[in-house]
Amino acid sequence: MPYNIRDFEGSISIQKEGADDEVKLSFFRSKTNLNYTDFLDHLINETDTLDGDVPDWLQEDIDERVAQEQLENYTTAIQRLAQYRLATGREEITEEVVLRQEFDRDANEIVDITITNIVQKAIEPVTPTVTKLVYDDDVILNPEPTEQTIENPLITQDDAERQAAQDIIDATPQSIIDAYGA
Amino acid sequence: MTVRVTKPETNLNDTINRLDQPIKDNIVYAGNRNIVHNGAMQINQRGVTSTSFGQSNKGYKMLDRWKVWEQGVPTATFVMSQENSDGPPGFPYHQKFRCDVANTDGQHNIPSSVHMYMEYFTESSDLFRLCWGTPEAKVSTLSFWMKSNVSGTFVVAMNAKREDSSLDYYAAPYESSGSGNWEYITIQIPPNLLTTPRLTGTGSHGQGLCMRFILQSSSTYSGGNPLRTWTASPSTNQQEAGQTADVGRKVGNYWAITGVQLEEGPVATPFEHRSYGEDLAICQRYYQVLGAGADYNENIGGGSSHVVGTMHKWGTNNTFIFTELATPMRNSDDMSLVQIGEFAFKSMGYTSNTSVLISLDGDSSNRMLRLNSTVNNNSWSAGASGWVRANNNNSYLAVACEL
Repeated sequence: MPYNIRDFEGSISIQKEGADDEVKLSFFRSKTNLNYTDFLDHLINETDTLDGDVPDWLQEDIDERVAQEQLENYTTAIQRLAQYRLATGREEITEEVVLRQEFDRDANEIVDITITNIVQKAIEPVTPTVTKLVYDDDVILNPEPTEQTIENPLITQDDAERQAAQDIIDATPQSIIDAYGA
Repeated sequence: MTVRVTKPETNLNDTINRLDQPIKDNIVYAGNRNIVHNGAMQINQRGVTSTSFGQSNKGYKMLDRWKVWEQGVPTATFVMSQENSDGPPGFPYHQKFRCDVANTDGQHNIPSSVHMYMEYFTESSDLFRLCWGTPEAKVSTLSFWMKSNVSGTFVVAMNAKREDSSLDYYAAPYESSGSGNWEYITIQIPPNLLTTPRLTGTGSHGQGLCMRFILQSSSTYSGGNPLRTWTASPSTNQQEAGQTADVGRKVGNYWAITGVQLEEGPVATPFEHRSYGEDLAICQRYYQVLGAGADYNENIGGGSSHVVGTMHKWGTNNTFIFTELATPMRNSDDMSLVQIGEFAFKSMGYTSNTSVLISLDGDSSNRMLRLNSTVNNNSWSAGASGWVRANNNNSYLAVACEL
Protein backbone atom coordinates (compact mmCIF):
# COMPACT_ATOMS: atom_id res chain seq x y z
CA MET A 1 0.00 0.00 0.00
CA PRO A 2 1.26 3.51 -0.74
CA TYR A 3 2.36 5.99 1.88
CA ASN A 4 0.37 9.12 2.58
CA ILE A 5 1.17 12.38 4.31
CA ARG A 6 -0.94 13.81 7.11
CA ASP A 7 -0.79 17.53 7.76
CA PHE A 8 -2.78 18.75 10.75
CA GLU A 9 -2.31 22.41 11.56
CA GLY A 10 1.21 22.29 10.11
CA SER A 11 2.23 19.14 11.95
CA ILE A 12 3.34 16.55 9.44
CA SER A 13 3.46 12.81 9.89
CA ILE A 14 3.82 10.07 7.32
CA GLN A 15 1.52 7.08 7.38
CA LYS A 16 1.79 3.59 5.96
CA GLU A 17 -1.52 1.73 5.84
CA GLY A 18 -1.85 -2.04 6.14
CA ALA A 19 -4.55 -4.67 6.15
CA ASP A 20 -6.26 -5.42 9.46
CA ASP A 21 -3.73 -8.06 10.43
CA GLU A 22 -0.73 -6.19 9.04
CA VAL A 23 1.51 -3.66 10.68
CA LYS A 24 0.50 -0.04 10.18
CA LEU A 25 3.14 2.63 10.66
CA SER A 26 3.27 6.34 11.25
CA PHE A 27 6.32 8.48 11.85
CA PHE A 28 7.72 11.98 11.67
CA ARG A 29 9.76 13.71 9.04
CA SER A 30 13.24 13.15 10.48
CA LYS A 31 16.37 12.28 8.58
CA THR A 32 17.51 9.96 11.37
CA ASN A 33 14.19 8.13 11.70
CA LEU A 34 14.66 4.58 10.38
CA ASN A 35 11.15 4.48 8.93
CA TYR A 36 11.47 7.92 7.33
CA THR A 37 14.76 6.99 5.64
CA ASP A 38 13.15 3.74 4.51
CA PHE A 39 10.30 5.84 3.11
CA LEU A 40 12.76 8.06 1.21
CA ASP A 41 14.62 5.00 -0.09
CA HIS A 42 11.36 3.44 -1.25
CA LEU A 43 10.52 6.58 -3.21
CA ILE A 44 14.07 6.92 -4.61
CA ASN A 45 14.17 3.27 -5.67
CA GLU A 46 10.50 3.35 -6.71
CA THR A 47 9.74 0.27 -4.62
CA ASP A 48 6.77 2.10 -3.13
CA THR A 49 4.70 5.13 -3.94
CA LEU A 50 3.19 8.18 -2.33
CA ASP A 51 -0.52 8.79 -2.43
CA GLY A 52 -0.64 12.27 -3.97
CA ASP A 53 1.98 14.69 -5.28
CA VAL A 54 5.46 14.92 -3.82
CA PRO A 55 5.58 18.22 -1.90
CA ASP A 56 8.63 20.50 -2.19
CA TRP A 57 9.95 19.70 1.28
CA LEU A 58 9.86 15.98 0.51
CA GLN A 59 11.62 16.46 -2.82
CA GLU A 60 14.32 18.44 -0.94
CA ASP A 61 14.75 15.55 1.50
CA ILE A 62 14.96 13.06 -1.36
CA ASP A 63 17.59 15.17 -3.14
CA GLU A 64 19.54 15.62 0.09
CA ARG A 65 19.49 11.89 0.79
CA VAL A 66 20.75 11.11 -2.68
CA ALA A 67 23.52 13.70 -2.22
CA GLN A 68 24.35 12.38 1.25
CA GLU A 69 24.62 8.86 -0.10
CA GLN A 70 26.87 10.10 -2.91
CA LEU A 71 29.08 11.90 -0.39
CA GLU A 72 29.32 8.81 1.85
CA ASN A 73 30.14 6.63 -1.15
CA TYR A 74 32.70 9.17 -2.38
CA THR A 75 34.35 9.36 1.07
CA THR A 76 34.51 5.58 1.32
CA ALA A 77 35.89 5.32 -2.21
CA ILE A 78 38.62 7.89 -1.49
CA GLN A 79 39.60 6.01 1.68
CA ARG A 80 39.58 2.70 -0.19
CA LEU A 81 41.90 3.96 -2.92
CA ALA A 82 44.24 5.43 -0.31
CA GLN A 83 45.09 1.89 0.78
CA TYR A 84 48.01 0.17 -0.89
CA ARG A 85 47.42 -2.25 -3.75
CA LEU A 86 47.91 -5.88 -2.70
CA ALA A 87 49.58 -6.73 -6.01
CA THR A 88 52.30 -4.12 -5.58
CA GLY A 89 52.70 -3.97 -1.83
CA ARG A 90 53.88 -0.86 -0.06
CA GLU A 91 57.26 0.84 0.04
CA GLU A 92 59.00 1.83 3.20
CA ILE A 93 58.95 5.52 3.94
CA THR A 94 61.59 7.01 6.20
CA GLU A 95 62.45 10.43 7.49
CA GLU A 96 65.66 11.87 8.86
CA VAL A 97 65.30 13.56 12.22
CA VAL A 98 68.00 15.77 13.73
CA LEU A 99 68.72 14.55 17.23
CA ARG A 100 71.34 17.13 18.17
CA GLN A 101 74.31 19.04 16.84
CA GLU A 102 77.96 18.26 17.59
CA PHE A 103 81.26 19.81 16.75
CA ASP A 104 83.17 17.68 14.22
CA ARG A 105 86.88 18.24 14.87
CA ASP A 106 87.98 16.74 11.53
CA ALA A 107 85.69 18.92 9.52
CA ASN A 108 86.05 21.77 11.97
CA GLU A 109 82.38 22.56 11.87
CA ILE A 110 79.09 21.91 13.65
CA VAL A 111 77.32 18.89 12.15
CA ASP A 112 73.85 17.43 12.61
CA ILE A 113 73.53 14.05 14.33
CA THR A 114 70.51 12.44 12.74
CA ILE A 115 68.41 9.34 13.16
CA THR A 116 66.31 7.60 10.55
CA ASN A 117 62.70 7.07 11.52
CA ILE A 118 60.50 4.58 9.68
CA VAL A 119 57.27 6.45 9.04
CA GLN A 120 55.66 3.63 7.13
CA LYS A 121 56.72 -0.01 7.17
CA ALA A 122 57.14 -1.78 3.85
CA ILE A 123 54.66 -4.52 2.99
CA GLU A 124 55.53 -7.17 0.45
CA PRO A 125 53.08 -7.77 -2.40
CA VAL A 126 51.01 -10.93 -2.11
CA THR A 127 51.81 -13.89 -4.34
CA PRO A 128 50.58 -12.92 -7.81
CA THR A 129 49.23 -16.35 -8.72
CA VAL A 130 47.94 -19.43 -6.95
CA THR A 131 47.51 -23.00 -8.14
CA LYS A 132 44.22 -24.83 -7.86
CA LEU A 133 43.20 -28.36 -8.69
CA VAL A 134 40.55 -28.73 -11.37
CA TYR A 135 38.51 -31.91 -11.90
CA ASP A 136 37.03 -32.91 -15.22
CA ASP A 137 33.26 -33.04 -14.75
CA ASP A 138 32.94 -35.67 -17.48
CA VAL A 139 35.10 -38.18 -15.64
CA ILE A 140 32.99 -39.77 -12.91
CA LEU A 141 35.24 -42.51 -11.55
CA ASN A 142 38.51 -41.50 -9.93
CA PRO A 143 38.98 -38.29 -11.84
CA GLU A 144 42.55 -37.03 -11.97
CA PRO A 145 42.86 -33.38 -11.15
CA THR A 146 44.89 -31.03 -13.27
CA GLU A 147 46.66 -27.99 -11.92
CA GLN A 148 45.56 -24.59 -13.06
CA THR A 149 47.37 -21.37 -12.28
CA ILE A 150 45.13 -18.42 -11.66
CA GLU A 151 45.54 -14.89 -10.44
CA ASN A 152 45.55 -14.72 -6.65
CA PRO A 153 41.87 -14.21 -5.73
CA LEU A 154 42.94 -11.66 -3.11
CA ILE A 155 44.43 -9.53 -5.88
CA THR A 156 41.38 -10.08 -8.08
CA GLN A 157 39.01 -8.85 -5.40
CA ASP A 158 41.32 -6.01 -4.34
CA ASP A 159 41.62 -4.76 -7.90
CA ALA A 160 37.88 -5.13 -8.48
CA GLU A 161 37.12 -3.11 -5.36
CA ARG A 162 39.67 -0.46 -6.33
CA GLN A 163 38.09 -0.22 -9.77
CA ALA A 164 34.64 0.02 -8.22
CA ALA A 165 35.91 2.81 -5.97
CA GLN A 166 37.42 4.60 -8.96
CA ASP A 167 34.14 4.25 -10.85
CA ILE A 168 32.30 5.87 -7.94
CA ILE A 169 34.80 8.74 -7.88
CA ASP A 170 34.54 9.23 -11.65
CA ALA A 171 30.75 9.33 -11.49
CA THR A 172 30.54 11.70 -8.53
CA PRO A 173 29.11 15.12 -9.41
CA GLN A 174 31.43 18.10 -8.87
CA SER A 175 29.09 19.55 -6.24
CA ILE A 176 29.64 16.45 -4.09
CA ILE A 177 33.43 16.58 -4.58
CA ASP A 178 33.37 20.24 -3.51
CA ALA A 179 31.34 19.30 -0.44
CA TYR A 180 33.92 16.61 0.42
CA GLY A 181 36.76 19.12 0.36
CA ALA A 182 34.83 21.77 2.27
CA MET B 1 51.47 -34.29 82.27
CA THR B 2 52.88 -33.48 78.93
CA VAL B 3 50.65 -31.95 76.31
CA ARG B 4 51.95 -32.09 72.79
CA VAL B 5 50.82 -29.19 70.69
CA THR B 6 51.44 -29.01 66.96
CA LYS B 7 51.17 -25.83 65.03
CA PRO B 8 51.16 -25.61 61.27
CA GLU B 9 54.17 -23.91 59.84
CA THR B 10 53.69 -20.39 58.75
CA ASN B 11 55.68 -18.89 55.93
CA LEU B 12 55.71 -15.26 56.86
CA ASN B 13 56.95 -14.14 53.45
CA ASP B 14 54.07 -15.86 51.68
CA THR B 15 51.58 -14.24 54.01
CA ILE B 16 53.04 -10.79 53.45
CA ASN B 17 53.11 -11.33 49.71
CA ARG B 18 49.44 -12.29 49.68
CA LEU B 19 48.52 -9.20 51.65
CA ASP B 20 50.65 -7.09 49.36
CA GLN B 21 48.81 -8.11 46.19
CA PRO B 22 47.80 -4.91 44.37
CA ILE B 23 44.21 -4.42 43.40
CA LYS B 24 44.00 -5.11 39.71
CA ASP B 25 43.94 -1.64 38.23
CA ASN B 26 42.44 -2.88 35.05
CA ILE B 27 39.21 -4.13 36.59
CA VAL B 28 36.45 -1.58 36.91
CA TYR B 29 34.69 -2.65 40.09
CA ALA B 30 31.92 -0.08 40.05
CA GLY B 31 28.45 -1.01 38.80
CA ASN B 32 26.94 -0.06 35.47
CA ARG B 33 29.82 -1.72 33.68
CA ASN B 34 27.87 -3.37 30.91
CA ILE B 35 27.35 -1.15 27.86
CA VAL B 36 25.03 -3.74 26.27
CA HIS B 37 21.32 -3.66 27.11
CA ASN B 38 19.27 -6.84 27.43
CA GLY B 39 22.44 -8.92 27.25
CA ALA B 40 20.68 -11.65 29.23
CA MET B 41 18.04 -11.91 26.49
CA GLN B 42 15.17 -11.58 28.95
CA ILE B 43 13.25 -8.53 27.67
CA ASN B 44 10.87 -9.36 24.86
CA GLN B 45 8.28 -6.60 24.55
CA ARG B 46 7.26 -7.65 21.05
CA GLY B 47 6.03 -10.86 22.61
CA VAL B 48 7.40 -12.96 19.77
CA THR B 49 9.17 -16.06 21.12
CA SER B 50 9.79 -17.77 17.79
CA THR B 51 9.95 -16.43 14.27
CA SER B 52 11.71 -16.86 10.95
CA PHE B 53 14.81 -15.05 9.70
CA GLY B 54 15.75 -15.16 6.04
CA GLN B 55 15.96 -13.13 2.87
CA SER B 56 14.14 -9.79 3.28
CA ASN B 57 12.68 -11.17 6.51
CA LYS B 58 14.77 -9.14 8.90
CA GLY B 59 14.86 -6.25 11.36
CA TYR B 60 13.90 -5.92 14.99
CA LYS B 61 11.73 -9.01 15.15
CA MET B 62 11.92 -10.49 18.61
CA LEU B 63 14.10 -9.62 21.61
CA ASP B 64 14.54 -6.00 22.57
CA ARG B 65 17.64 -4.24 21.23
CA TRP B 66 18.69 -7.22 19.09
CA LYS B 67 18.26 -6.99 15.34
CA VAL B 68 18.76 -9.57 12.61
CA TRP B 69 19.94 -8.60 9.14
CA GLU B 70 21.14 -10.08 5.88
CA GLN B 71 22.49 -8.84 2.58
CA GLY B 72 22.63 -10.48 -0.81
CA VAL B 73 20.22 -13.26 -1.64
CA PRO B 74 20.65 -15.88 1.09
CA THR B 75 19.00 -19.24 0.61
CA ALA B 76 19.42 -20.39 4.20
CA THR B 77 16.70 -19.55 6.68
CA PHE B 78 16.66 -19.77 10.44
CA VAL B 79 14.10 -20.22 13.16
CA MET B 80 15.08 -17.71 15.80
CA SER B 81 13.67 -18.25 19.25
CA GLN B 82 13.85 -16.99 22.79
CA GLU B 83 14.61 -20.16 24.77
CA ASN B 84 13.78 -20.37 28.46
CA SER B 85 15.54 -23.59 29.45
CA ASP B 86 18.94 -25.21 29.09
CA GLY B 87 20.85 -21.96 29.51
CA PRO B 88 24.24 -21.50 31.15
CA PRO B 89 24.19 -21.10 34.98
CA GLY B 90 22.32 -17.98 36.01
CA PHE B 91 20.78 -17.35 32.59
CA PRO B 92 17.21 -18.58 32.17
CA TYR B 93 16.94 -17.06 28.69
CA HIS B 94 19.00 -17.25 25.56
CA GLN B 95 18.49 -16.48 21.88
CA LYS B 96 18.84 -19.38 19.49
CA PHE B 97 19.14 -19.59 15.70
CA ARG B 98 18.38 -22.99 14.18
CA CYS B 99 18.83 -23.58 10.46
CA ASP B 100 15.61 -24.92 8.93
CA VAL B 101 16.57 -24.41 5.28
CA ALA B 102 20.22 -24.86 4.34
CA ASN B 103 22.23 -23.09 1.65
CA THR B 104 21.40 -23.93 -1.95
CA ASP B 105 20.41 -27.61 -2.08
CA GLY B 106 23.24 -30.00 -2.64
CA GLN B 107 26.01 -27.45 -2.72
CA HIS B 108 26.19 -26.23 0.85
CA ASN B 109 27.94 -23.13 -0.38
CA ILE B 110 27.02 -19.69 0.83
CA PRO B 111 25.77 -17.73 -2.18
CA SER B 112 28.09 -14.96 -3.33
CA SER B 113 27.72 -11.57 -1.64
CA VAL B 114 25.67 -13.00 1.22
CA HIS B 115 26.07 -12.55 4.93
CA MET B 116 23.60 -13.08 7.78
CA TYR B 117 23.98 -11.89 11.32
CA MET B 118 22.47 -10.75 14.60
CA GLU B 119 23.49 -7.23 15.52
CA TYR B 120 23.46 -4.73 18.35
CA PHE B 121 23.79 -0.95 18.17
CA THR B 122 25.01 1.22 21.03
CA GLU B 123 24.27 4.89 21.16
CA SER B 124 27.25 7.11 20.47
CA SER B 125 27.04 8.50 24.01
CA ASP B 126 27.41 4.96 25.41
CA LEU B 127 31.00 5.03 24.16
CA PHE B 128 32.21 8.19 25.87
CA ARG B 129 33.77 6.18 28.71
CA LEU B 130 36.05 4.37 26.25
CA CYS B 131 37.78 7.65 25.19
CA TRP B 132 37.72 6.56 21.56
CA GLY B 133 39.25 8.92 19.04
CA THR B 134 41.82 10.19 21.56
CA PRO B 135 45.33 9.04 22.54
CA GLU B 136 43.78 7.83 25.81
CA ALA B 137 41.47 5.37 24.02
CA LYS B 138 40.89 2.33 26.22
CA VAL B 139 40.90 -1.37 25.65
CA SER B 140 37.44 -2.90 26.08
CA THR B 141 36.27 -6.46 26.48
CA LEU B 142 33.31 -8.29 25.00
CA SER B 143 32.19 -11.45 26.73
CA PHE B 144 29.24 -13.80 26.18
CA TRP B 145 28.03 -17.37 26.48
CA MET B 146 27.75 -19.24 23.19
CA LYS B 147 26.54 -22.71 22.31
CA SER B 148 26.65 -24.30 18.87
CA ASN B 149 26.89 -27.66 17.17
CA VAL B 150 28.98 -26.00 14.46
CA SER B 151 32.72 -26.01 14.99
CA GLY B 152 35.13 -23.48 13.56
CA THR B 153 35.90 -19.81 13.69
CA PHE B 154 33.13 -17.29 14.15
CA VAL B 155 33.57 -13.53 14.03
CA VAL B 156 32.08 -10.57 15.79
CA ALA B 157 32.34 -7.84 13.15
CA MET B 158 32.27 -4.30 14.48
CA ASN B 159 31.92 -0.88 12.99
CA ALA B 160 31.88 2.51 14.64
CA LYS B 161 30.32 5.63 13.22
CA ARG B 162 32.13 8.95 12.92
CA GLU B 163 30.66 12.42 12.91
CA ASP B 164 30.73 12.44 9.10
CA SER B 165 28.87 9.08 9.08
CA SER B 166 31.86 7.15 7.72
CA LEU B 167 32.64 3.88 9.48
CA ASP B 168 35.72 2.34 11.05
CA TYR B 169 35.92 -1.46 11.25
CA TYR B 170 37.32 -4.20 13.44
CA ALA B 171 36.61 -7.94 13.32
CA ALA B 172 37.23 -10.22 16.31
CA PRO B 173 37.35 -13.99 15.78
CA TYR B 174 36.39 -16.62 18.36
CA GLU B 175 36.38 -20.39 18.28
CA SER B 176 33.45 -22.76 18.66
CA SER B 177 34.19 -26.36 19.56
CA GLY B 178 30.89 -27.48 18.07
CA SER B 179 30.29 -29.59 21.16
CA GLY B 180 26.80 -28.28 21.82
CA ASN B 181 27.90 -27.19 25.29
CA TRP B 182 27.91 -23.63 26.53
CA GLU B 183 31.27 -21.95 26.02
CA TYR B 184 32.30 -18.68 27.67
CA ILE B 185 33.85 -16.39 25.06
CA THR B 186 35.94 -13.33 25.87
CA ILE B 187 37.23 -10.95 23.23
CA GLN B 188 39.56 -8.05 23.85
CA ILE B 189 38.85 -5.07 21.62
CA PRO B 190 41.81 -2.79 20.86
CA PRO B 191 41.59 0.93 21.58
CA ASN B 192 39.85 2.73 18.75
CA LEU B 193 41.97 5.75 17.91
CA LEU B 194 39.96 6.62 14.80
CA THR B 195 36.36 7.08 15.84
CA THR B 196 35.42 10.04 17.98
CA PRO B 197 31.94 9.42 19.36
CA ARG B 198 29.46 11.92 18.06
CA LEU B 199 28.61 14.81 20.34
CA THR B 200 26.68 17.24 18.20
CA GLY B 201 22.94 17.57 17.97
CA THR B 202 21.09 14.32 18.28
CA GLY B 203 24.17 12.47 16.99
CA SER B 204 25.26 11.55 20.50
CA HIS B 205 22.03 9.59 20.78
CA GLY B 206 22.47 8.12 17.33
CA GLN B 207 24.39 5.07 16.25
CA GLY B 208 27.75 4.52 17.94
CA LEU B 209 29.15 1.01 17.82
CA CYS B 210 27.58 -1.80 15.83
CA MET B 211 28.46 -5.39 16.80
CA ARG B 212 27.53 -8.10 14.33
CA PHE B 213 27.51 -11.72 15.44
CA ILE B 214 27.99 -13.50 12.13
CA LEU B 215 26.02 -16.67 11.35
CA GLN B 216 27.32 -17.05 7.81
CA SER B 217 29.54 -14.96 5.60
CA SER B 218 30.51 -15.44 1.96
CA SER B 219 34.05 -14.67 0.81
CA THR B 220 32.79 -11.28 -0.35
CA TYR B 221 32.82 -10.26 3.31
CA SER B 222 35.24 -12.73 4.89
CA GLY B 223 37.79 -13.76 2.25
CA GLY B 224 40.40 -11.10 3.02
CA ASN B 225 43.16 -10.67 5.54
CA PRO B 226 41.92 -10.30 9.13
CA LEU B 227 41.82 -6.80 10.58
CA ARG B 228 44.41 -6.48 13.33
CA THR B 229 43.20 -3.14 14.52
CA TRP B 230 40.52 -0.54 13.87
CA THR B 231 40.66 0.37 10.19
CA ALA B 232 38.94 3.02 8.12
CA SER B 233 37.18 1.64 5.06
CA PRO B 234 38.95 -1.71 4.79
CA SER B 235 38.37 -3.99 1.86
CA THR B 236 34.86 -5.44 2.04
CA ASN B 237 36.31 -8.93 2.32
CA GLN B 238 38.09 -7.92 5.51
CA GLN B 239 35.01 -6.74 7.37
CA GLU B 240 34.21 -10.27 8.58
CA ALA B 241 37.57 -11.86 7.77
CA GLY B 242 38.25 -15.05 9.67
CA GLN B 243 34.66 -16.36 9.72
CA THR B 244 34.76 -19.94 8.47
CA ALA B 245 31.86 -21.41 10.47
CA ASP B 246 28.55 -21.52 8.63
CA VAL B 247 25.40 -22.14 10.64
CA GLY B 248 23.37 -22.20 7.42
CA ARG B 249 25.31 -25.09 5.90
CA LYS B 250 23.05 -27.84 7.17
CA VAL B 251 19.51 -28.13 8.50
CA GLY B 252 19.64 -28.58 12.27
CA ASN B 253 22.76 -26.49 12.75
CA TYR B 254 22.30 -24.03 15.57
CA TRP B 255 24.01 -21.17 17.35
CA ALA B 256 22.78 -19.70 20.64
CA ILE B 257 23.89 -16.76 22.76
CA THR B 258 23.27 -15.04 26.08
CA GLY B 259 25.10 -13.05 28.75
CA VAL B 260 26.50 -10.48 26.34
CA GLN B 261 28.63 -7.86 28.07
CA LEU B 262 30.81 -5.08 26.66
CA GLU B 263 32.88 -3.28 29.25
CA GLU B 264 35.82 -0.99 29.71
CA GLY B 265 39.18 -2.60 30.44
CA PRO B 266 41.08 -5.70 29.37
CA VAL B 267 39.36 -8.08 31.79
CA ALA B 268 35.99 -9.77 31.36
CA THR B 269 34.26 -9.43 34.71
CA PRO B 270 31.23 -11.54 35.69
CA PHE B 271 28.05 -10.61 33.84
CA GLU B 272 26.29 -7.65 35.40
CA HIS B 273 22.78 -8.98 35.97
CA ARG B 274 19.99 -6.43 36.08
CA SER B 275 16.53 -6.89 37.49
CA TYR B 276 13.72 -7.37 34.98
CA GLY B 277 12.42 -3.90 35.84
CA GLU B 278 15.77 -2.23 35.27
CA ASP B 279 16.34 -3.97 31.97
CA LEU B 280 12.78 -3.25 30.81
CA ALA B 281 13.08 0.46 31.62
CA ILE B 282 16.37 0.68 29.70
CA CYS B 283 14.88 -1.09 26.68
CA GLN B 284 11.79 1.14 26.72
CA ARG B 285 14.00 4.02 25.64
CA TYR B 286 14.02 2.29 22.23
CA TYR B 287 10.67 0.50 22.12
CA GLN B 288 7.65 0.40 24.38
CA VAL B 289 4.21 -1.08 24.18
CA LEU B 290 1.31 1.30 24.73
CA GLY B 291 -1.40 -1.35 24.77
CA ALA B 292 -1.71 -4.92 23.60
CA GLY B 293 -4.08 -7.84 23.50
CA ALA B 294 -3.92 -11.15 25.31
CA ASP B 295 -1.64 -12.72 22.71
CA TYR B 296 1.14 -10.65 24.20
CA ASN B 297 0.13 -11.24 27.84
CA GLU B 298 2.96 -13.44 28.89
CA ASN B 299 5.74 -11.06 28.09
CA ILE B 300 4.42 -7.58 28.54
CA GLY B 301 1.35 -7.98 30.72
CA GLY B 302 -1.11 -6.95 28.04
CA GLY B 303 -4.80 -7.76 28.04
CA SER B 304 -7.65 -7.54 25.57
CA SER B 305 -9.10 -4.57 27.42
CA HIS B 306 -5.95 -2.73 28.34
CA VAL B 307 -6.17 1.00 27.94
CA VAL B 308 -3.94 2.87 25.52
CA GLY B 309 -4.78 6.41 26.55
CA THR B 310 -7.47 9.03 26.91
CA MET B 311 -9.37 10.20 23.82
CA HIS B 312 -10.86 13.55 22.89
CA LYS B 313 -12.96 14.29 19.85
CA TRP B 314 -11.68 17.44 18.09
CA GLY B 315 -14.12 17.29 15.21
CA THR B 316 -15.33 15.00 12.47
CA ASN B 317 -12.48 12.70 11.38
CA ASN B 318 -10.15 13.98 14.06
CA THR B 319 -10.11 12.17 17.36
CA PHE B 320 -6.99 12.49 19.47
CA ILE B 321 -5.49 10.06 21.94
CA PHE B 322 -3.06 11.13 24.64
CA THR B 323 -0.75 8.65 26.26
CA GLU B 324 2.12 9.14 28.67
CA LEU B 325 5.22 7.09 28.08
CA ALA B 326 6.68 4.83 30.72
CA THR B 327 10.21 6.03 29.91
CA PRO B 328 11.31 8.94 27.73
CA MET B 329 12.26 7.63 24.30
CA ARG B 330 15.74 8.09 22.80
CA ASN B 331 14.52 11.25 21.07
CA SER B 332 11.32 12.67 19.64
CA ASP B 333 12.08 12.82 15.94
CA ASP B 334 12.99 9.17 15.44
CA MET B 335 9.83 7.76 17.02
CA SER B 336 7.47 5.61 14.96
CA LEU B 337 4.09 4.21 15.89
CA VAL B 338 3.54 0.51 15.20
CA GLN B 339 -0.03 -0.78 15.09
CA ILE B 340 -1.72 -4.11 14.52
CA GLY B 341 -5.35 -5.13 15.03
CA GLU B 342 -8.46 -3.45 16.39
CA PHE B 343 -8.98 -0.79 19.05
CA ALA B 344 -12.10 0.37 20.87
CA PHE B 345 -12.79 4.11 21.19
CA LYS B 346 -15.20 4.66 24.10
CA SER B 347 -16.96 7.91 24.95
CA MET B 348 -20.37 9.11 26.17
CA GLY B 349 -21.66 5.55 26.46
CA TYR B 350 -20.90 4.78 22.81
CA THR B 351 -18.12 2.60 21.44
CA SER B 352 -16.46 2.52 18.02
CA ASN B 353 -14.44 -0.62 17.35
CA THR B 354 -12.04 -0.02 14.50
CA SER B 355 -8.78 -1.07 12.95
CA VAL B 356 -8.38 2.29 11.22
CA LEU B 357 -4.86 3.68 11.29
CA ILE B 358 -3.82 5.51 14.44
CA SER B 359 -1.21 8.08 13.60
CA LEU B 360 1.71 9.51 15.53
CA ASP B 361 0.93 13.19 15.50
CA GLY B 362 2.48 16.60 15.95
CA ASP B 363 3.04 17.99 19.45
CA SER B 364 4.19 14.55 20.54
CA SER B 365 7.38 14.50 22.58
CA ASN B 366 9.57 11.66 23.73
CA ARG B 367 7.66 11.80 27.05
CA MET B 368 4.07 12.06 25.90
CA LEU B 369 2.32 11.19 22.67
CA ARG B 370 -0.52 12.82 20.81
CA LEU B 371 -2.03 10.25 18.51
CA ASN B 372 -4.70 10.84 15.93
CA SER B 373 -7.40 8.79 14.30
CA THR B 374 -10.05 9.49 11.73
CA VAL B 375 -12.52 7.37 13.67
CA ASN B 376 -15.84 9.12 14.12
CA ASN B 377 -19.02 8.35 15.97
CA ASN B 378 -21.92 10.70 15.40
CA SER B 379 -23.10 10.12 18.93
CA TRP B 380 -20.02 11.88 20.20
CA SER B 381 -20.15 15.62 20.33
CA ALA B 382 -17.03 17.68 19.70
CA GLY B 383 -14.97 17.72 22.87
CA ALA B 384 -16.28 14.34 23.99
CA SER B 385 -13.69 12.54 26.07
CA GLY B 386 -13.20 8.88 26.86
CA TRP B 387 -10.55 6.24 26.43
CA VAL B 388 -9.10 3.88 23.86
CA ARG B 389 -8.21 0.29 24.52
CA ALA B 390 -6.97 -2.80 22.72
CA ASN B 391 -10.03 -4.66 21.54
CA ASN B 392 -8.91 -8.17 20.73
CA ASN B 393 -6.16 -10.62 21.45
CA ASN B 394 -3.87 -9.60 18.61
CA SER B 395 -4.25 -5.85 18.97
CA TYR B 396 -0.99 -4.13 19.47
CA LEU B 397 0.15 -0.51 19.66
CA ALA B 398 3.76 0.37 20.34
CA VAL B 399 6.21 3.19 19.80
CA ALA B 400 9.67 2.45 18.44
CA CYS B 401 12.80 4.58 18.43
CA GLU B 402 15.38 2.00 17.43
CA LEU B 403 18.89 2.57 16.13
